[in-house]
Parts: sequence; C-alpha cells; structure tokens
Amino acid sequence: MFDKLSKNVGEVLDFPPDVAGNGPKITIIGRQEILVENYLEIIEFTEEEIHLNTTEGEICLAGKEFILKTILATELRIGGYLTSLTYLGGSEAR
Amino acid sequence: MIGKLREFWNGRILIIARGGQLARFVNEGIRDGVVFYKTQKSERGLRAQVQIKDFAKLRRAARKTHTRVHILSKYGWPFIAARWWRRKSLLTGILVIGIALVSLSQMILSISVTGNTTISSQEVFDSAEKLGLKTWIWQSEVDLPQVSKALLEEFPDAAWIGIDQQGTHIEIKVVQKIRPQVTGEAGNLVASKAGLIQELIVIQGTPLVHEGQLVKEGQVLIQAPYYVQQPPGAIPKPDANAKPKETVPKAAPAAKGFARARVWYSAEAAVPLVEDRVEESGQTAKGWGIKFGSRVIMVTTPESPFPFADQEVKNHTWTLGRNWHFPVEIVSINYQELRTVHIERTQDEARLVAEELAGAEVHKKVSPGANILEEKVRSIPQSNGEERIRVEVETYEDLAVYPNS
Repeated sequence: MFDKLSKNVGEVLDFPPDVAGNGPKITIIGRQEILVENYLEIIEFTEEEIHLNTTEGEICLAGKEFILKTILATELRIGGYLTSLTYLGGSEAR
Repeated sequence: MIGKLREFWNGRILIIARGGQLARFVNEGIRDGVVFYKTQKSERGLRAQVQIKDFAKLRRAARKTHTRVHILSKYGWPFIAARWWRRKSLLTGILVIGIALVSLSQMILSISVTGNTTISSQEVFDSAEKLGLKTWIWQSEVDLPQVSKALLEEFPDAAWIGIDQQGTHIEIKVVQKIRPQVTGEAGNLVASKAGLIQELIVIQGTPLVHEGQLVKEGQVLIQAPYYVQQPPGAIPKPDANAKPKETVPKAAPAAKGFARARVWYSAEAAVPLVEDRVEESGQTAKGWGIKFGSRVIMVTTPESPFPFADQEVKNHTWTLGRNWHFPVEIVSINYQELRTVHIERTQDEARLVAEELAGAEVHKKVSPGANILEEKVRSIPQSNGEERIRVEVETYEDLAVYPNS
C-alpha cells in the first residue's frame, strides 16, 4: 500500500526511481567494480557467480575472480571481472 | 590512503569460515551488524576480513549455520598495541633511556681547560665553578659569554678566555699573556717592552727606575717588598724551590704599580714597481666523485677546466659511531682558476701600497688599548726598483707586567 503510494507520488513529482522505489540500484563501473544497493540478501556466491535476492527478483552476476570488497546491510561492493548480469524470475513485484 | 589508515587503526581480523551454508552465514552476520570486507570464496572456504568489534558478533551466525570460523591473521594497531603492552618493561626501558639521553644531552658533563701554561687548570675549574659553570648542571643555566668575561677578569695573566661548547663538553680556552722571560723575578713588575718611562706610580714595592729613564724589555721596574715576602727565620733556600712558581705569588705580596711609558714601534714594507703576481681570477668550477679506498672516480668535471688552478678537495664520509667509516666516500673538488697578473705601479702607488702594508704590520705589534701618540711614515730610498716604506708609531702605555718566571 505504502510502497505503491510512494511510487505513484514519485512518478507525479518526477523523482528518479532510486529515490522513490525500494528496488535495487546497481552501478557498474567498467567491468571491475559493481555496486549493488538495496539488495535483500546473498543467496549464493562463488568466484564465478553471485546470486542476490532483491525486491525485483533474483539477480545473477556472472564473471571471474569475484571478491566482495565490502558487505553492508544494504550495500554490496563487488570487485572482479563481470561478464553478465541477469534477472531471474521474480516478477511478483509487478 | 585514509581508508587504509582507518583499517590499520581499527584493526582487522582475517578469518576463514568453513561449512555448508556460507551464504546464509554471511546474511546472518549482516543481520547482526557485521561488516565483511574482501570476502572471497575458494575451495578451502570463505575468507573475509572483519573488524575486531564485529568478530564476537559472528558467533551467533556461526552457531546457527554450523559454520566453523578460524582466525588466519590479525592486522592493525590494536594488536600491535597489545603486543607492546605485554612488553611494558621494554617500553619503559626505551622511554627511560630516551628521557635520560635527552636530559643528559641538555647538561654539561665535562669541562676541560686548554692553552694554559702557568695558570693551573684546577684554579680555572674552581673559578668557573664559583661563576656557576660546573658539571651536572643544565646548559641553559649558564651564560657562557658572561662566565668567560668574568673569568678573564679573575685571571690577569690570561689575555683571552673563550668558552667553547661542543654538545655536553665545555672547553675553556685560555690564551695567556706573553711576558718577558725573566727568571727569579716573581712578584716584581718588569717592563714588557723597551720604552721611555714617563710616569711611575708605586703602590707597593720599591721603584728601581725613575721617570725619564729608558728601560729595556724585562728590566725590573718595581721590586716586590722583600721583607714581607720572606719573614726572618723562614727564608726558603733557592734550590729547594724547584717546583714551578706561580706567576703572581698569592701568599706573598707582589709589587704593585704602574709604569706608563712612551714606546716606539716600527715596521717596514717594500713594494716593487713592476711585479708579476699569481692570483685567483674568481672563476671557479666544482666537481664531485666517488672515492673507494684510494681510488677516486670523478663523476663530474674529471679534469680541471683551467690551465692553472688551485684545488680544494673535500671528503664527505659517513661515520657510524666513532670508529666505523662507510668505505665509499664522496669527494668534492673546488677548482679556482689562477692567473698571472702583471702589475706596474707608479712610485706614488707603490708607496701607498707599502705604507698600507707596513701600517698593518706595525699595528699588529702595538699592544691593544695603547694610546697612539704619533704615527710617522718614512720613505727609504732604494735603488733596486722598489719602494721601501717605514712606519713608526709612538704610543703611551703601561709597561709594568709580572714576568714569567
């Protein structure tokens, strides 16, 4: 209810979606650094693959030599070599 | 950089976690407020860094997910501090040594007296101590110029007393007055130079000369009162008195008085009219090289750039302690170009130069503080192409001094 309201208000007031929504914000700098904000939890991670749960569904990051530089409650800083970023399933938020 | 520093300051623990539910372990840890850094998965488990204060919080997550956590290494200031804290006595020792070194270097630890011939070193030490200059006091407590001035007043035999400080060592340099060598005249006042006595004031003793008399160097002017010095029945034999006598006898009264006299000084200087002289042109060049043992390898300006040059060689050595020298030295050479100057002077110019030279020389001889009455410049005719000038100075000064016996 509140989520929907804030989203609509955000749309009316032209807020950028990262301010209005609570979905993940993913910043990729080159291929070496990925910053994921607003994730829910880590599902699985290895050196080649990282699965994250978000409100928008599951994010799958694939690449090489992944290292989680900093893990905070809402922010995840990943270093490594990124090859792909995929959303899996999880369309229940729509 | 700041991040690294903070990392160091807060302290990090490098852990390795083994178990089947590592992702859940991380999630649980995050829920408990743990921040993971540099988390990496390998076949051996999950390596991560956590802050010291977060390490205890991991325990709940580990128990819940059946994960075993091991510490691989510890890094940062808190661990270093703890290590040092365990070695408190070593730390205090270092601190004590440091404080001792600093405070000892602020003190005067040794005093030496150099240059004294007849004044005994012990006397100088005693006087210096009375003036506040002694060992084991703070350097800032003594005013060295003041002490040297006061010492000079205390020792009439010293022409100059300088105090040189090298770290904690104080060197009292004494330059003694040069007095005529007359043996057996201790306590008497003798003439320091030849002169014409103008005024004789006797405070104590017997005058042996009179005003208007020409005296020679070393001639006794005022004799010490003998009867006081040697009371009847206690006359020491002259042979028994073998030990060096003090310049100014302290026990027996010495002669006292003044003998102001006119004294003449003269100096001559000759300057040729035509002269070839070698002098520095002012052009210089610098070079440096490396010296190893006796071999010198010049890095810059290997040869003197001038056909004629003076060279000044400086060696820069690194020394460790007193005895160990670094085997490689840096050598710097300063070349100064020399050139021959052909000088032709007129008679007047040559005279002027000679007069200057002779004047400088004669003023070196005049005792400091003497009243200069007259200065005469005389030209001595020469036939060999040079100008010879004689400068004569007449002064009025006190001649009476105690002789060196």
